[in-house]
Amino acid sequence: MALLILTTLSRLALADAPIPPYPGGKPLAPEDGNSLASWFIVVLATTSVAFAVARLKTLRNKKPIRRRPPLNAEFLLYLFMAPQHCNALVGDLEERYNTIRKKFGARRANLWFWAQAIRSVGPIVCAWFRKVLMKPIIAVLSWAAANRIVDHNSWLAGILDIWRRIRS
Amino acid sequence: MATNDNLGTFEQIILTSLVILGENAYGATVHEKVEELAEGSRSIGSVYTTLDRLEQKGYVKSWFGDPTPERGGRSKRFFKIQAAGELALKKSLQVADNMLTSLKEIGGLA
Repeated sequence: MALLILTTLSRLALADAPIPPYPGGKPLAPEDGNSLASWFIVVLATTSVAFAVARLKTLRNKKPIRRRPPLNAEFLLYLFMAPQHCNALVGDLEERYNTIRKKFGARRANLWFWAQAIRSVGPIVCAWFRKVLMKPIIAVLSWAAANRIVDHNSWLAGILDIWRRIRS
Repeated sequence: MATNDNLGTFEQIILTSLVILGENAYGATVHEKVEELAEGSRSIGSVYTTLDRLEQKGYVKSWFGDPTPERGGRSKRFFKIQAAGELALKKSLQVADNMLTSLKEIGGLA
């Protein structure tokens, strides 16, 4: 785009055609138009060079794309799984991640890894919840139920009382 | 070991994958095979949690292999279907087959 503008303006500057007048101002002479176009060329050229230099600097300073799966996504899985099981799962993901990276590039592979990690967290958290939290919750609920229904202070006493009543 | 347990569809797919893959059944291959059989994307987390549940039921056995460099030095977790798992899968598929036959007899699924 900048090149196109530059080309147009340079043609304009080289040709002796007058530049259209400013609205409300007096018409410019052909030499005034030429000098104005030259100024435009200088300003645009300087801006383009500055932009190109800045872009080159950015590209040079840009960090290389990591060839490893996103660490935060891995950590998400480590939160709810036993280390050895999690290692196996992350290893499986990394295996497919490498295949996708070679085929489609690192960005898409990262996106795939994140999607898998986020989608995997749901079932893993549910399993973790069932395994870790269900037993204490059931114990507390059964204690509360026994205390309320049988009017005993402990769920064991409540169950024993129910058992005695059934037997008698 | 669960004796009178009805397998869910996902459990059936996973056990079928284990039968198909045989010795080469580990997380990544099972996940790929499950996606192929289910004709859709499934998360690897759901595959692992189902495999854990099947292991608790005694249908599947798992062990860890040697670490490999292409997996970032992580070991594979291999899975193998047990006799109880094969029996449960057979029963489950038989029930599905009975349903399909009955439906076809009355022209339910043309």
